[in-house]
Amino acid sequence: MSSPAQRAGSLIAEQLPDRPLPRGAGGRQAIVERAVAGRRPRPRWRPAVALAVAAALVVAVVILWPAPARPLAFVVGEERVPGVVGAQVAPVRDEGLAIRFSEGSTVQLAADARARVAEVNDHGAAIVLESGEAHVDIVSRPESSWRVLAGPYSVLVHGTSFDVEYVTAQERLRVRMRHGRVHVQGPGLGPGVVLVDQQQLDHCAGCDEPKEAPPATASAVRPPTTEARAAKRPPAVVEPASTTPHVAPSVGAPSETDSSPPLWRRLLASGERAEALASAQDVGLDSVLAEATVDEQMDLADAARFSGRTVAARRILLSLRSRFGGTPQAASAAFVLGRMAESSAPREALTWYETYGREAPSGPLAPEAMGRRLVVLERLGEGAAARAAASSYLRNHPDGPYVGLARKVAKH
Amino acid sequence: MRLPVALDDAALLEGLLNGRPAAVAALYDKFGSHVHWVLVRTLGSDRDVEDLVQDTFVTVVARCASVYEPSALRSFIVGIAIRLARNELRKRAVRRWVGLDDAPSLPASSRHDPVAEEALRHVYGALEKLGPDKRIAFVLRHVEGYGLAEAAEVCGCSLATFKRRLRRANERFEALAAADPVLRECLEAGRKEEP
Repeated sequence: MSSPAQRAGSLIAEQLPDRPLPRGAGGRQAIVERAVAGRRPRPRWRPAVALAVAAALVVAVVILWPAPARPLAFVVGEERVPGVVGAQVAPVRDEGLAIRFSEGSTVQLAADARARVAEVNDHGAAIVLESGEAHVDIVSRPESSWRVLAGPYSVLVHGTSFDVEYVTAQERLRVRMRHGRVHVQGPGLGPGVVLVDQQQLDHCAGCDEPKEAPPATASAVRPPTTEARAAKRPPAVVEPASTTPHVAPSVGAPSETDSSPPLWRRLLASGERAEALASAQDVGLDSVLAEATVDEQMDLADAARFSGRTVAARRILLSLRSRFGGTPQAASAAFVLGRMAESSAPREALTWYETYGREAPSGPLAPEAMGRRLVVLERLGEGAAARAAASSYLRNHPDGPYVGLARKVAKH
Repeated sequence: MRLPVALDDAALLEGLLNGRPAAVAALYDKFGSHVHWVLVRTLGSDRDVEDLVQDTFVTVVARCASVYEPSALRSFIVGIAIRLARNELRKRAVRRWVGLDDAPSLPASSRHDPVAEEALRHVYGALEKLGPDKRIAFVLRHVEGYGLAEAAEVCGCSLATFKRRLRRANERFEALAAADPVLRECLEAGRKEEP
């Protein structure tokens, strides 16, 4: 019999197995260059020299410790006017405008662009691109942390160079990589899209119709959590710029207004789910649930569950089932409702597991749902029903995770 | 830069010792993905993992002369990755202590199972409380499946020290799991499923 530590280890190994990395991830070329450059013989230090260096280090530590981290500074334009955090920056001349940061990174705004530096710290900055195009050139440093926020999208940046354009009216984002790697998050992009050297992303959250475009470079796109999530949104288009000239595909009708999305939606898009839930509750959960997409409701429900707000989680999941009945997400919500009810209302949990089985008999959670139903029936002492459930489990899910329990119950 | 054929560990090591860039590229092609995921599983997050993977391979190349047996190359690489992960865990602990760092978020699991993801989150929540050395002993033994002697070698400590760390890690984890309803339920369910 294995220990809890061994079972926890198995859980990690099952959930996070070795998987191929996306093409271009890992910095293969950078590793080769760094490794080859680093093959210099180490100097043989004499003890006296080493002692002197050590003493100098001690003095330096005493003088510099505790050195407060200083946030980056930035200047705007050729006149190098000191920048103000939060102030809007917009070029007045046709040649655009540059924002230069003290560690060497630059953001070059095109003539029609508007942006704000929303936050700076010692690792990087958050730049809000309100509209228009910008060329972003970030210096690679350890622990650097940069974000470009454009409407509901968030581009997480390390050392890299790329062009980004945001069309407010269509909630349309275009990213063209020059080199490096970015991670783009936003509605319809599932867990996010990783772009590497020379790739492009063209995504339109506000378009009504999916766009026609060359096929996506699959290796650069992480799969969304469910197929249905992807089906609900216009697809992201990711392509290598070096081989295919980028032709802007046709877009759907622009939205009627160009007002910014609500805060909860922007927070969700940038992955800050707990803050998004708090913001949604401030606004009023009912009104948020009336307009939230199925993906957003799933994310809000997760945020509520993981922070222990089971009442809110249940409310969101029930709303999701009411508004999006018949979707795979509605079936998943039934499963999660079952899990939440297991300890306090086991008979209700049985109903939810049976609902999942009915709505998604071949769904990815079917073996788990039927297995949990078996567990609950056994706990309730429902011998005959448990034996029937066990036989059904062995018949329908012979490789399922609860097959051991099913065999035991079926024997009795 | 890519080599036309996959090299075995002996040829790889020889190429590294001779300073061939193609051998570095082949080394990364062969072990890069595994090192990436070992780091993710150890740290419970993919934040900064790409940098750590780079550091691992640069260090491996710089120290490859100390690998006397080609068959030990894999353990040597994992050992360096684990040492870098330990430094990272220590840095994160300090950053969290002074309020500069949030708990890192988990990477997406391969199965997209909300219940398992929740359990995983609680497992890593418990591992955060073990301390770097005990956490690494736990991961090497229970997640990566290393034998005791090999794990001790990877950690760069004696077998007795590794056993002591592992015992303490197990005791602490089990105490934390017993006090966590989600973990207790999840691990209890797992126990029931065993034949």
